[in-house]
Amino acid sequence: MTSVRELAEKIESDRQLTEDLSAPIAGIKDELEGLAAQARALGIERVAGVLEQAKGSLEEAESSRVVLQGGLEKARWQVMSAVHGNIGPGAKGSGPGGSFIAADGKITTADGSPVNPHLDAVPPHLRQDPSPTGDELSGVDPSISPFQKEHENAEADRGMSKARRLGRGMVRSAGDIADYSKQTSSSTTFDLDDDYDPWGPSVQTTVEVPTGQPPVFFNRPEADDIRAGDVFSTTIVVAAFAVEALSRIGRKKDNG
Amino acid sequence: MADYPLFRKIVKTLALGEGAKGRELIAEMRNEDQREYANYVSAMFAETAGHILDKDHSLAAIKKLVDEMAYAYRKVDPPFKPMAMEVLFRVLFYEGQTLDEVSPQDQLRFQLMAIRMIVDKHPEVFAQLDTFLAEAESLALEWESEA
Repeated sequence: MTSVRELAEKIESDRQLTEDLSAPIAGIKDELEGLAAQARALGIERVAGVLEQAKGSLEEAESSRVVLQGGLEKARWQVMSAVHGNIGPGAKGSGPGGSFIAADGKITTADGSPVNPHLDAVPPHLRQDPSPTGDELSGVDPSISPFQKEHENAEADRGMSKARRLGRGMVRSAGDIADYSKQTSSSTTFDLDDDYDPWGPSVQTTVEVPTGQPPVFFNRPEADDIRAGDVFSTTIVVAAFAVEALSRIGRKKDNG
Repeated sequence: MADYPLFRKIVKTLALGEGAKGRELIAEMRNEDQREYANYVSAMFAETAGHILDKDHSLAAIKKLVDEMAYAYRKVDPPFKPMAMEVLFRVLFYEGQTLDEVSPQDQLRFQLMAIRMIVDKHPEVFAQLDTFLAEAESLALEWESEA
């Protein structure tokens, strides 16, 4: 039981770390906002654009952080409920007078001292179904990690709705002149028809096999490709480990 | 009321790469409809690009798509502008992205080029092209009503 408590403490410290990240993220976001405004004031639109995007990435990172923090809170709660066996929807109360406990005093805690039959400090497997699967510890579909599940729901159809909303930025309003549209569209037909060639030089012999993978022509610097999400990778690994360790403990306990 | 049925026909032929037919239809367009036509193309661009980048619209995914276009359109003259294309995609997914750097003519040209490639390379878009064209009309009308 000691190791489970250690796990709970570890999860709690990870949760604290995750929570502590909130302030620096908010700080950097403000800073980026300020810098973007300055760049825009100076007329350096490209720089401002990059800074705005970095800000967007940070906002996504913050939302991942909130999800992660929630997941860790949940994980700790599950560990603690496994330790105490007295919280959570699946836990049975021991009832008046400790009715689920053998009255002969054979049940002891890890250090060998007798268990007070009036407390709930009895491992769940002694009080409940004698062959639990361990799934009750995770509380979710075991094939999907809790983070993945919550995250995916939060992201549902975001790209499409964004494109529809932000696409309005391209709209020419009633006062705008668009007298080029026919001319431009007509000349573009040649690009679309004669010059469109997605698969490369046409296959002349039967030996050549088109790969379907166009070569990358543009070797651009990746400096503007800021991924604030990387900040979390370490913590996420720890969290994934915690979940895995938890289910192992669950199984071990069942087998033993 | 602009002639949206004609817009749909034009964009459909262009998306399918039927240049000669497209030029005939474009010639039928009333001059005063050109602004709404350009907006309709933007709406179709938002629908198709929004569809294929729905799940992943990271900068990496956008760059990959732009590189694909740069390859498919490597023969065009005047040349394809990857940076301008990237800006057009970014506008759809990132707040605060400005279009100032891309001329209105380039916007229209590269949007049409993107639509054509997406329809060609994505069978599910090709199969439902008429649905996409109709959705684009709803979106364009929505934009017009709010403009």
